[in-house]
Amino acid sequence: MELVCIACPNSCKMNNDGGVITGFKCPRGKKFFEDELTCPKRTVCTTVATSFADMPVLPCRTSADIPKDRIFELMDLVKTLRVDRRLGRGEIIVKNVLGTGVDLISTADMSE
Amino acid sequence: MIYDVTVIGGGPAGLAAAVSASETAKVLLIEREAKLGGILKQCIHDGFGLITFKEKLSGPEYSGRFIDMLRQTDVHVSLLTFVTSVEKRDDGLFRISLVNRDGVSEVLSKTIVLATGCRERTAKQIFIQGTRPAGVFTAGTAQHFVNLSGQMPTRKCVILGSGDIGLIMARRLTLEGAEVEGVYEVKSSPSGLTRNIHQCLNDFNIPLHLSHTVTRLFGERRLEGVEVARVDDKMKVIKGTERYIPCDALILSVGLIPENELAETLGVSMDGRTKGPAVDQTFMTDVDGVFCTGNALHVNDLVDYVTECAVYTGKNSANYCKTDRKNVIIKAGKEFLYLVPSRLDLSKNIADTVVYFRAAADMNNATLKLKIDGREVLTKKYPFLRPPEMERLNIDFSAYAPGEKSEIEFSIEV
Repeated sequence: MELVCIACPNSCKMNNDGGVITGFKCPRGKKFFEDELTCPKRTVCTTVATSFADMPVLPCRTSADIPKDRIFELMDLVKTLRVDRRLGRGEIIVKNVLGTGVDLISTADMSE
Repeated sequence: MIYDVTVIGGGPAGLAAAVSASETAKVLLIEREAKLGGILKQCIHDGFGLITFKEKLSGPEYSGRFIDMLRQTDVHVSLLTFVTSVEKRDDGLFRISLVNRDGVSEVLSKTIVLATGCRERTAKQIFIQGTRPAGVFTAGTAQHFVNLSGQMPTRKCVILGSGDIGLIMARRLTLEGAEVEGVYEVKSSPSGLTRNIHQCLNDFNIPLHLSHTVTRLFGERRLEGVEVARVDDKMKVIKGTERYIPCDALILSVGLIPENELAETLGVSMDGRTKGPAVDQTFMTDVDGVFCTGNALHVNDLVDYVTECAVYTGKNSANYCKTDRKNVIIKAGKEFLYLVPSRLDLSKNIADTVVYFRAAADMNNATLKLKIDGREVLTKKYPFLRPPEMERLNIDFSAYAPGEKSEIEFSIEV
């Protein structure tokens, strides 16, 4: 199987045809390949609604990767949320979102 | 008051240039919007900062870090301020005319850093036939709607062009519940980064149709559908391959062009290949004291490179002293899409020169060669070069002691 690493712009072309993963330039590539075979994971970046007219949506993301097959479950949850306090960059919006062990965090400063 | 450096544009390039210049100079940073950060404000996806911070950050996080750094400096920031004109006085100082909510004003500056970013090519620049309904957006406009206004511009769309913003928006719109029928690219290879093809299209089963284009728009008030067709290797539409796709939006990701209105009014010479100003190794244009950096200089694929270039530009503008130029043209053959800088000024430091380039076509096992006066002084091997992926390298030109009559020439051999 051939895979392109998405960890960095190098976009390493990797392969496991000989039973061994080859083609990666750093350990993140090998880890990405292994995860893709067992439990593919992605960081999800989206926005959450706010109560503030000057910033109707707040950019947010998962603080780490979550299982790829739960992305739309996360999106459904995010649609139900509304931020009614001016958050700073990196503040937690939902702790342990969907029980993944990962937090949903703000990625922008609402006071700027 | 006379500023040493005036930076025009408060995006990633302007922020890094201002922070870096402020170490030794009195700096003014001018931004036309209410917030700093430029386009990164709406680039909420991650992947920024892997080189600069060794972390995978979203756009607002990346620019936020530079805004924090800026706050530690004494840079004077002028928001909601638009530069209406820049004029070079006889004494060499620049008179910059500004307009903002306080009215019209003028400032004087010893140097100028143009960090005005780039603009998207629009529907008018790609000549699609048919009606002119609402619903045709650039990818950046769609991104602004979704990520800053929280409004969906489409329920079902077609994306024309496989530039990175188009790929990012294909994923973003899909996440928000829209249907992206497909991405159509007129060229036979994608324009965006390989990893974006994978994480934005393949992850969500969005088809990428290479060698295809949109040939016609349908709809009166709002777009109702588009016609797509296959093209041949000369990008000519192949008759009989037309197909109608019902959709309420066409999203364009068909290229970016450096924004250089101000540079042109200053009489700066342009580089026909980058579409930005022609600069020397200090990122100074051919007008003394006018520097250019970031996407206004050439369109980068990574913000990390924009930052790097802007840090150098900031330092160079802060330390600028007029010299008698000793310019040597840097030649780059047809195998390059472009190469920056386009000249070396021997009256300045040539030791720590950074060269940015893109190959003109996909190349495997390529060798970059640098010849000075016909002598091969440097070679570098690349397993593959692709036009969407910019390359950079550091070169100490002082090691080769070029003279004013030297021929400096880059080439790529496969």
